[in-house]
Parts: sequence; structure tokens; C-alpha cells
Amino acid sequence: MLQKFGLVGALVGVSALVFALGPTDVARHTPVRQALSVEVGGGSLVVDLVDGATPSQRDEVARLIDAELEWVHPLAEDEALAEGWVSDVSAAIAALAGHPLVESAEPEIFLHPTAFPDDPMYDRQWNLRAMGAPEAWATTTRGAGVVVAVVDTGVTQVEDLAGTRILTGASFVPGTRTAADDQGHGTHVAGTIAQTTNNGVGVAGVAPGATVLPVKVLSKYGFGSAAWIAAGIDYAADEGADIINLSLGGGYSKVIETAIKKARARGVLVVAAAGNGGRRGVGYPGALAETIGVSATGPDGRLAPYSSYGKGVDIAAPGGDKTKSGGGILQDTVDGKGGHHYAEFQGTSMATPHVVGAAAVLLGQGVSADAVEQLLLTSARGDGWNEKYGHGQLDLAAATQHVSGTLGGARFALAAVFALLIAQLAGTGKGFQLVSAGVAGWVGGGLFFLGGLPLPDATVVGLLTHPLLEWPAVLAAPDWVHFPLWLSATLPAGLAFLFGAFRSTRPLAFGLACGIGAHLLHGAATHTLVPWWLPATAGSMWLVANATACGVLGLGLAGAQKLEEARSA
Amino acid sequence: MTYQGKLKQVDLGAGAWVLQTNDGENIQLVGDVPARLAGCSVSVQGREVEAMGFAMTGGRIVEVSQISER
Repeated sequence: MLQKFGLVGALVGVSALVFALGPTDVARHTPVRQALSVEVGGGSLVVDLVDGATPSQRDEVARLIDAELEWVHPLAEDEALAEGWVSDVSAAIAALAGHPLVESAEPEIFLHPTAFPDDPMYDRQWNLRAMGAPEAWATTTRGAGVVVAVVDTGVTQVEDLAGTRILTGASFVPGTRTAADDQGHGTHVAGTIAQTTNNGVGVAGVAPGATVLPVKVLSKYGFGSAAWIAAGIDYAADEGADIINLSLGGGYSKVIETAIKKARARGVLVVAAAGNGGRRGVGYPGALAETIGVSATGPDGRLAPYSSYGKGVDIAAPGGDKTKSGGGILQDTVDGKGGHHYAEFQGTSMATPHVVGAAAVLLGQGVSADAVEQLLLTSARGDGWNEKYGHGQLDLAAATQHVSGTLGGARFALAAVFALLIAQLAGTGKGFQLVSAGVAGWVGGGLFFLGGLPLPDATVVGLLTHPLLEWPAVLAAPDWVHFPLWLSATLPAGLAFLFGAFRSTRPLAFGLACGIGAHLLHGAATHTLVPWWLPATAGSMWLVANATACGVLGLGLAGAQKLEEARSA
Repeated sequence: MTYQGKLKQVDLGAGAWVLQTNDGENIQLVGDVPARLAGCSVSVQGREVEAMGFAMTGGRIVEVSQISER
């Protein structure tokens, strides 16, 4: 009996430990709509015949591949573009290769109109692709719930910030009463961090789920005193900012250094521009050890001609280079005439918010502030530190992939331990314990250790390397990961009904229950699972309650296994 | 104090003004600067301020009280 109490205690202890080790500095959030892009139609072939080909020639080609080919559209008849179903696409393509009537043949590709993001000017945002933002969007909550202070000329909620959460903020510039932007710089910076994304309007931002705290410390002429800036930094930390964006600089100031040190000591990340001197010598506060100093690159990935460099540069990010066509950073901002416009800016000011947005995405994954700083630098593309690019070029895709692997490892271990403890509690045989612990680990964490291998980008590989609850993201419907019924004991209960009655499949049903339960618990503790519609506390309670239900379900299955083992013994 | 040199518009952020003095110094100007003077030789009256800004071109920052073409 004592041993049973010990096992129950261990279960409760492990669960409590998950919460104790979870982050406390990341707020709860609601996921944004996601989506995806391209898939290959199964068995559908497009054949481009030589121009002017007749229907009988088309049918002659069709007979070669045992298919019925039709013109794609009456208007495509001139181009002789035909399509049809074949039983084996690759064999059909091979059969048509070199045929005098065929110009080309390929599998039909369906382009979804809901490609993410649907912002019409996204194509011009080379900067977001260069830093690996799209890959990060697919697997994260995009900075949701993270508060980012834009300490700048203010922020105005222009057209393409309409769906972004912007707090009231404050102004420290004498003669101004609100944090509205009367210059254009601050709103542009805020847009790079959290422009409303996938809204069918304008452009995208790095972390569209993040909340912006506007802090006006620069006048409409773009400058501010050290006192205003220091007061703004203090205010941002007091207001609960997780990250402070400082796209500003100049000479050294003791009061600003003190304010930054205080903010940093409170766990706030501070990211600052290296400066636009175009020469060696990083300005302050970017040069301080407490800030992440950012130099700027152009669309070719090279240091932008205006960017300062030298000691104090920690990382490089896209800041734009307008000597190249379309080489600026495009965002929506105020135009100085009471309206707004989509404008290309350049500067280390523009590079800084890319790093801030990346940090917001990582904080949103449940990573601590200190770990985010390290991760940004270690995942940057580069060969060690150099004075132009610091530790390298910002690579959010690599950073989020690393986090996913780490989270996967933690969940795998947690799920396996859960399965072992519950099976031991029920007193099942060792074979059942080991098999079901393996199943639980895979279901809860995925085969995360395969993530670093050069595996093909195939759906089946995605399913193997991701935890079961993330399968909707692999199968092209990322939204469904956070659907409350998906994040519940419903699926394990259904599978227990199907597979739990048979001895051969019971480890699968039991492992599924334990794996999903462990993932739900881990998701509640780290805020990486966020059920739709439910407010923060209710969402957490939903996850924990369903994790408990999974545990009870697992105990029932293990009990059934024990009884069957005892009967057959 | 009066500063003299060539007025240059710098394409950084939302735009900034720099005065290239005859002895090669780049002074960042803040305040009302008429765009029509871009590229002209100008005389600037103003005072040096201890400040930071988004232009970050380095060097001194002068708050303009009056500016005219020379």
C-alpha cells in the first residue's frame, strides 16, 4: 500500500514540477488564424501538348498513359493544355518524356487562395523571409501575449495595425499628451514587430500576436533627451513590458544605462540599434553589455552601407538597403499629413524590431528571457563573432526549431515517466510498461531527436517527429491544434474504446492516453497550448482537468491489463 | 551659435538632416528644416543638445532655431 502511495505521490510530484519549471513571465494568448499553401493533387496530371494539337492527337497521347485527357478550359485549347487522372503520376510522366506531341507533363498543383499570410504586399517583404519568419509562424503562437515596448516617436494605430493589440502607453516628450506618433518612425518600427498579419491588408509583421506598448520619448523631429528616454525605459518595465525596442542612440548616458540595467535585472530584454554611422564604432545604448546590439543587412545579406559596426554588435538583422530596388523595409506608418502610407525605410532602427519580434515569438513559446537572448545569438547564421554581424544573421526559423526540439524532449520524457508510473501503480508487467512508455513518449513529444537529421520534407516524417496534438499543423490545418475538443481527453477516450479491449493494442491506447495527458499538462504549464475561446485561467484549468481525465483513463486501461495478466498467469 | 556647411538629407528611418561643415564634421540637425534647402550651402543658428535620436549618424546634434541659404 505504501508503495502505491509513493507512486501516486511521484505522479503528483512530477506534475507539480512541470508547473514549477514553467515560465511565469509569459502572458496567455489567443492564436491567430494560420494556414498554408501548396499541396500536390493525387493522380492528377497536366499535359502541355505542342501548340495546335488536335483532339485526336490529345486522345492518342491519352491512350499511352491509359487516361482520359480533357482540355483544361475551352480557352486553353489553343495552348493545347490538357489534364486528366492517371493511376501512377510518375509512370505517366516517364511515359510521356520525349514524346513529339508533348512539351511537358507534371503533377497538378493546387494553389490555395488562403496562403498564409494573405497580406497583398507581403511579396515585397524580403526581410521577413530572410530572417526565417514564415517557418516560425507555422509552428508558434507568433508572440501572442508578449508585451513589447516601442520606446520611440510614439505609435499610431494606422490601417494595418487595426487588428494589433496596442496599449495606451505614455509620452515623456514635453508638450505632447499621448503616445501617438507625430513623426512616422515609431509606428514603422511597431509594424515590423507586430503589423496585423493575414488580414488581407498591407503587409505582415514578425510577431503579429504580440502586444505593443507605445512609449513616446522622441519628439516629432526624432530626438529626445537622455532623461526622457530613461524615464520611458523605467515606465516600460513598470508596465510589464517583456521586451524593450530601442531604435535610437547617440553618446553614452549614465541615466539611460542605469534604467536599462534596472529593466534587465527585472527580466526585461532590451534590444538596441548599433547606429547609422557607416563606420566602426557602435553608439549607445546599443554598445552596452545589457542590450542586444543590432547591425543592419540589406536584401543581399551583406552589411548595409550605413550600418555602424564593431564591439557591441551582437547580431545582424534586415535593416534595408535602398540603394537596391525594393531593398527597404516596408511597413505602414503615419505620413505626416494626418493619413498613413506604406513606406520603405532603412536603418539599424529597422533592423532592431526584427530581433525584437523574433524574441517575442520565442518568449511566446515559453522560453525564459535569458534563454531567448542566448538562443537568438547561438542560432544566428554565422561562423563565430565578428564586428560586422556579431554572432551572425538573425535566424528565427533555426531558433524556433531548436525550441521545438527541446520542448519535444521534455514532453517525451514527461509522457514516458507518466506511463511508467501509472502502469506501475496498476501493477502491470514490465513488457507492457516499456512498450506503452515508448508509445506515450512518441505521442507526447514526437520523435524529436530525428528533427536534426537530414530527413525528407514529407508528411509522414512530420507526423513522426511531432507530438500527436500538433498533427493538425503538420497536416495543414494549424488552427485545429488549439481547438478545445482536440485539447481534451476526447481522442484518448475514443481510442481507448476502440483499442483498449484487446491485449495486443492496449499498450497503444494506454500510451496515447498518457502521452496526450502529459502534453496537455506541459502545455498548461508552459502556455504553449491555448484552447480557443477560453480565458487564460479557464484555459489552463481545461487543460489540467483533461490531463487528469487522461490519467484516470490510463489507470483504467492499466488496471484492465493487470487483471488480464493475472488471469492468464 | 552659428554653424555653416552643406545641408544633406539622409535617408534613414523617416528621414534626417545632416550639416556637412567645411572642416569635414557631420552635425545632425533637429528641428524645422525646409526641404527646399537640401543640397544647399546654409547657415544654421542653433544650440548643441545632449540628446539621442533615431538617425544615429554619430557626432554632435544641433537643435535648429534658424536656417538660411548662404
